Amino acid sequence: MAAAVSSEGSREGPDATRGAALPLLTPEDRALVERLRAGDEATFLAFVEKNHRAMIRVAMGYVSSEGIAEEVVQEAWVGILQGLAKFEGRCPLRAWMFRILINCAKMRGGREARSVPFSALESDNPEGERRPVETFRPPDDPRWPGHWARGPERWTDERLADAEALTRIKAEIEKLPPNQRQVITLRDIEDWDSAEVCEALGISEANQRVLLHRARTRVRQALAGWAAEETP
Amino acid sequence: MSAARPQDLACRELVEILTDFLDGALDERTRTQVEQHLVLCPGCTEYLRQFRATIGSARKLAEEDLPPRVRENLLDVFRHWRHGS
Amino acid sequence: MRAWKFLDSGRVAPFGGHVWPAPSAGAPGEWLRFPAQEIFACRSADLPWWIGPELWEIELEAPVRGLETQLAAPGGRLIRRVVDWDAAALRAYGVACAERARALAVDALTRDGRAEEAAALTRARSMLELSRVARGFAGDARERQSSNLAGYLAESSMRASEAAAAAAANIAANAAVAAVKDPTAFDHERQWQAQWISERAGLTPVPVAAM
Repeated sequence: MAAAVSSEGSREGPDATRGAALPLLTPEDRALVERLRAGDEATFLAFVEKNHRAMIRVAMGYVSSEGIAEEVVQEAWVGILQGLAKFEGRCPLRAWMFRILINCAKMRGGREARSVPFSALESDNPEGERRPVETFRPPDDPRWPGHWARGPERWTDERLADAEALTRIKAEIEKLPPNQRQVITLRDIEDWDSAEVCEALGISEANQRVLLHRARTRVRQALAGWAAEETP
Repeated sequence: MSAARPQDLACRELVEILTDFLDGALDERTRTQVEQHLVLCPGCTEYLRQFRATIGSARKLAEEDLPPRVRENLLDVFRHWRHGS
Repeated sequence: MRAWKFLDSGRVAPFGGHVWPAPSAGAPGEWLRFPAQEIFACRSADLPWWIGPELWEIELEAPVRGLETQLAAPGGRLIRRVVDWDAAALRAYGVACAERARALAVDALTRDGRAEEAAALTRARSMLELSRVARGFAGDARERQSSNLAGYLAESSMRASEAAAAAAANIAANAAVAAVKDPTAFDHERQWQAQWISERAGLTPVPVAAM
C-alpha cells in the first residue's frame, strides 16, 4: 500500500511569523528510531499507543467519520515505517510523522468530499443547551464600557473534580470545528509545544494561537454552561 | 461623563488575549496591562482561573489504551514491513 | 536595592504561581532567578497597583529597570514580611478608598440640590448598606454627574464589603476623575492610596537608586 511520504525539511516557504527553529531529533527519538528499524515490537506498540488518539483526532479534521480516520491512521503508519529507512532526523520525529498522517488524511478526505458530506461537525449551539448569562457592558455604558456586567460564576473545586466535567470537555472538543479541534488536541491534551504544532500542521504561530484561543474559549464557555446549570 | 481610563484594558479585550498571555506572546506593556487588570478585577481573575482549569482538565484526556483490534492491525503492519515489503 | 513586593498567601507569586523561598533565622531567603522571566517589585508609589494579601520587603539584583508602575530585575530575594500588612489592613484599605468615593458623591449630590440623598449616604454605616443606598441614587448616571458618582460609590463600597480592596480602590480612583473631569486626578488618587498603604503598613522609605 503506497502512502505519501513526507520529505524532511520541506516547508511551505518563508514565514516570518513561524516561531524559533525546531531542534533536531532528540537522543530519545533517535534511540526510538533505531529500535524500530531493528524490528522491536514492544517499542513500536508503545510508540503507537502514545500517539494514537492524537493521530485519530488530527485525521478527523479531514475525514468524516472515526472509522475512516482509523483507516487513515493505519495507512499513515505504513508510510511512516516505509519512510523510516531514509529518515535522517533533520527535523523532529513527531512533526515528520504528522505531516505524513495529514497527507494521507487529505488524500482520503479529498476523495470523500465528493460523496460524503460533513455532518454535525460544524454545528454551533445545539438546541436546548443552556448558555451561561455572562455579559459585558455595552460601549455606551457611563462608567465601564466593555467590562463585565455579569461576570463568570465561580467554579468550585468540587465541580472541577467531578468526572462529569471531563466528559463534558471531551464532548465539547469533539464538537469543535476541525482545525480548532486539532490544535487544542495537540496543545492541551497531548501537551505539544507551540512550535511542534505549527510544524506538524503547517500553520503559522499566529494562526495556531488564534485557533487555540477560539477552541479554549468555546470549551470553557460550554463548561460554564454546565456548571451554571448545577447551581441550586 | 468619564469612563474607565482609555489606556486601561476592558474585560472584553482581556479575555480575547488570554492565550497570548499564557503563551508569553504579549509585549511587555500589554502583559503588564493584563496583570494590572487582573489585580483589580475579580471577574477576570475568575475567568482566567476557569480558562486555566479547562486547559488543565483537557490534559487528563490524554489516553493511552489502544483498542485490541487496532493493536492487532498495526502489529500486522509492523511485521509486514519488518520482513521487507 | 530594596523594594516592596506583594504576594498571595503562602509567599505565592500572583502570576507565576511559584513559591518564594522564605527568610529564616534573620537571614534573607534564597535568591530567585528565572532564565526567561524578570522579577518585579514596587517602589512606594507603585504599591496601589499590585495590592495583595502579603507584603514583603525584597532585595533586587542589579541591574534594576524602572518601569511605569514597577521595577524589574534579573533576580530577587525576600528580606522580611511586613507584618502590619495583613487581611485586616487589606480590608481597611478597601474601605478607606470607598470612603473617598463617598465623600465625592455626597459633595456632588449636595451641590446638585439633592440634600436628602446626600444625607442618606452619610448615614449609611456598613459598606454593604452604603452600596445599597448609593445604588438607589445612581439611576440617571448618563444625565447627572451626581448620579454617576453615586454609581461609582455603589460599586466601590460593594467591592469593599467583599474585601476586594484593589477593585474598590480602582473604582474610587476612576470616581476622582469623574468628579473633576480631569484625568490627572487618577494619579493623584493613586498617590493618596500609596500614602495610605505606606502609613498603615509602617513602611519606612527604602533607598531608591537614581534611575
